[in-house]
Amino acid sequence: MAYFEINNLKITHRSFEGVKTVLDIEHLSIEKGETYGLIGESGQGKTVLALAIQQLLRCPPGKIESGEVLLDGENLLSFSPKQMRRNIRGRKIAMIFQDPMSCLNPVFRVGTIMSDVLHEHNKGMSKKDVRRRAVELLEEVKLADAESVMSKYPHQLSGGQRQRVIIALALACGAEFLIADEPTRNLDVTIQASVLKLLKEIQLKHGMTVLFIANNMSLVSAFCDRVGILYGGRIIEENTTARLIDNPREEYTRVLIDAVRTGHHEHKSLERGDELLRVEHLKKYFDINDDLRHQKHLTLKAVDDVSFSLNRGEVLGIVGESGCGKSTLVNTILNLFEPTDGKVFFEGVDVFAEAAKGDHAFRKNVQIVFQDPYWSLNPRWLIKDIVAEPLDVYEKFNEAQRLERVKELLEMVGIDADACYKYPHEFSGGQRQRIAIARSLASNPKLVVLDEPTSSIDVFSQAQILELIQNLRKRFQLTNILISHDLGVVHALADRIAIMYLGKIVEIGPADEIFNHPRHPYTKALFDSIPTLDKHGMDSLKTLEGQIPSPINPPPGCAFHQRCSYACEKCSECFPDPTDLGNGHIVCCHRVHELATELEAK
Amino acid sequence: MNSFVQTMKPRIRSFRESMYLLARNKLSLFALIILVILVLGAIFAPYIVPYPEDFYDAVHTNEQLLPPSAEHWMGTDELGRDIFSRVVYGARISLTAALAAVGLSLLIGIPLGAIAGSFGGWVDNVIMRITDVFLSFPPLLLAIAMVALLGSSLNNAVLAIALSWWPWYTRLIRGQAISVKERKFVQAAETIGTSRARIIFKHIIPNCISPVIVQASMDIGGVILTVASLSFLGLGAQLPTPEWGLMISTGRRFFPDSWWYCIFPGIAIFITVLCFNLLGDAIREILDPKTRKN
Repeated sequence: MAYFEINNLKITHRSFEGVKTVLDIEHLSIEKGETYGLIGESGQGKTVLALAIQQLLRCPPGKIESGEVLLDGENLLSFSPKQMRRNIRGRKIAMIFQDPMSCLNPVFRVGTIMSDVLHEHNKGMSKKDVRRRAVELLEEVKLADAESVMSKYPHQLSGGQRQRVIIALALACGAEFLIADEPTRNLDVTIQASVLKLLKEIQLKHGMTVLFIANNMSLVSAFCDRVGILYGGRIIEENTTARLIDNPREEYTRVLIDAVRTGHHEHKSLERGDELLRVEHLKKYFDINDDLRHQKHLTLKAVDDVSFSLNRGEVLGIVGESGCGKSTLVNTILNLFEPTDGKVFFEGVDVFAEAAKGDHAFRKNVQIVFQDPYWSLNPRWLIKDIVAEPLDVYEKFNEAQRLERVKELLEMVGIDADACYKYPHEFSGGQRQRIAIARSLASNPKLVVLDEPTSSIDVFSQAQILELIQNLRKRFQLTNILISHDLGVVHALADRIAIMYLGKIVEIGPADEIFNHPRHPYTKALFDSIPTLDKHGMDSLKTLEGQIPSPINPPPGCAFHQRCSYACEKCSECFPDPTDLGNGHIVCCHRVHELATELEAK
Repeated sequence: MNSFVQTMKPRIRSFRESMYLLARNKLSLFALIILVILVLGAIFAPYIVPYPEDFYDAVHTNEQLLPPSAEHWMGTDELGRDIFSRVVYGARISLTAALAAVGLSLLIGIPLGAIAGSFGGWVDNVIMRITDVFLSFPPLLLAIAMVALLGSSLNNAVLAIALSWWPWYTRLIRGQAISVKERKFVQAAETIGTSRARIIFKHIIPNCISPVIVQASMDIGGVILTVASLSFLGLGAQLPTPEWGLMISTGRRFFPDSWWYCIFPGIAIFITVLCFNLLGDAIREILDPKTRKN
């Protein structure tokens, strides 16, 4: 008998629409010490399963119709809530949640949270021992300076540090079965790799069995021994990781795999025209007055001296960790934020000077498609009004013309015309993103900014959305700025790539060149830490040590020098001047020439 | 899935789903039924009560202060008027007054709150300091002072209540507006070039109205009480209007011998206020999925 087993588990959910089966698992077994990856997109029942195993599922509206969940031969579903609390949760099963922000109580210090858990499960342990054990645990999860972390509040820690505290909590009571529900979902790629490495290390050290829940294939290929694909509440396919990736049986699995395979999409470039957009020495600083700590006149340099230009028909991909200033950069270019300094020229016209005169004609030509199609469409508007919003501002159409144009736009993005009289919640994520794209095209813009256009929709739609964007670009000769951390998407769309770090562009150049021959150490580290299918085993994931420095007090010189393994003395003294490597490939690194062969070799 | 895992997806409940939620909560369904009866009674009062001529100043000298009986369900008052007829007609007065007062406060409160929340800065400061001034007086005292200034009448009482009530809605809407303005669709509207006024009235207000509707439906009960209180003190409706508070005030002189004179209008106030509060709870449950009980 396997260590962990699920047999014929059926869970239903009751709502006004009637009773719906949300989970129906015939059989799932995990051997001791194994790492089992459960993959599915949101809404397929992953979290329901994680909660049901621990009897944390809210019933009603949920109902466990039948089945058993065996851990070490004992049926967890037959235990009373009291038994679960005393003997199972924490002691035998530990869980790591996906959102480290919200699952640490913000009013307690880390030390208090840790001691509470330790105390609850080790009655009679002295206060001193509890504290010592807590520090030990924090050290085990490689939190530098564990003593001082103990006296900090959760909000004072970064996302990666918080997730480490949660892992320490999971370790606290010696649980042998760990459920990790998308543990790296809200973390940056560079942090993600180090958290995964830590998890693997701890698993091996303690001989833990792990149920790893994820929403995409790339993480799993490095982390798990076996993988199951969850779709519509059923496990539709199961195999060892390598075999599943090489030889998927189901169509859905294949789509999941293709979605994370870089370079899978065919790249189509348009013919490039003259210069459309030029950004010169753009700066956006935020003034911060922290009265409580008597720190006044601090400046947060969100965008610090950024220059680039964009030709007609081109796609510029902007890549970087969160907090690097990509969104601020775009918002400043779009004139949603008041720029601190610098100029933006659109078709040769100084945008900020025009805006100061009260002329916002520029907005008609530049539109944006946001990441999250759930919140970018007003939930209380009809689709026809959403799509027509730019028309209401720029065109003087009567109702019939307006409706006709809306239908035309919807048809362009592949949405039926009868959608006009529906509300956004009646559509899926992919369809909503199509509607958002239709809206962005309504005013016939020349430049469309795509802010992570596929990252919050399901994989089935992702490929279709990319294809749609490609087609529309060709049809309307669009120029795009693409913000994304998904290298697959960047690969599929971008002609040129700019890598940002702490408000500055550190490397910019033709996409192929950057992908194949990155010349800045940060670019290299960023690409290496992103899990892809071609990387098997945890060793293939390179981690980037250290935290992203605060943009309020950036390190002097090249902001990356503290995390850079190639840094020299000069790096901490002044920011390197851009070096032009030809073909528009520009790198800001003091050692760019010396490192060429070294970066290539790795 | 939605109730298993708290998902942050915006959704509007369909009518059918709202009814399902309402029907599941027996108490709020009961409140809704009572309120519907009350509203229908208020609208059709002249056609359904036994003595419509008793609404105002009819006098039946030989029927004074009769106890409840088959002819007079709730007895008669000191002028021989049928109390049941007057209580039913009183619903019309109380409901209209309460709706008018709450409606007027919403009309003042919502735009001010939305403007304060979406503009921020000094505009926000000015508007919110004004509301602070209004909020620093107890509403009933403020209303009494205003009625004293404007003169005693039901219309002035309604106006006074509205003027002391709107700051609550302003604060509520402002808080909502501050969070709604960060939503992506507002940013999208800004990139499109939509005007500020349109963003406030078409994007922001519709998306922060739910909690205000909940609050308003609960407040109707409170306002009915305040109207009755003012009338009881002689500052609202004047004789011979069949206003509930006024009826209790007049009936007080004949208490406890003719107990029915005070008790029945009192019960009417009690039931109405209770039902509005229950209905407010039900509306909250429908509009705000987060507070849903299972």
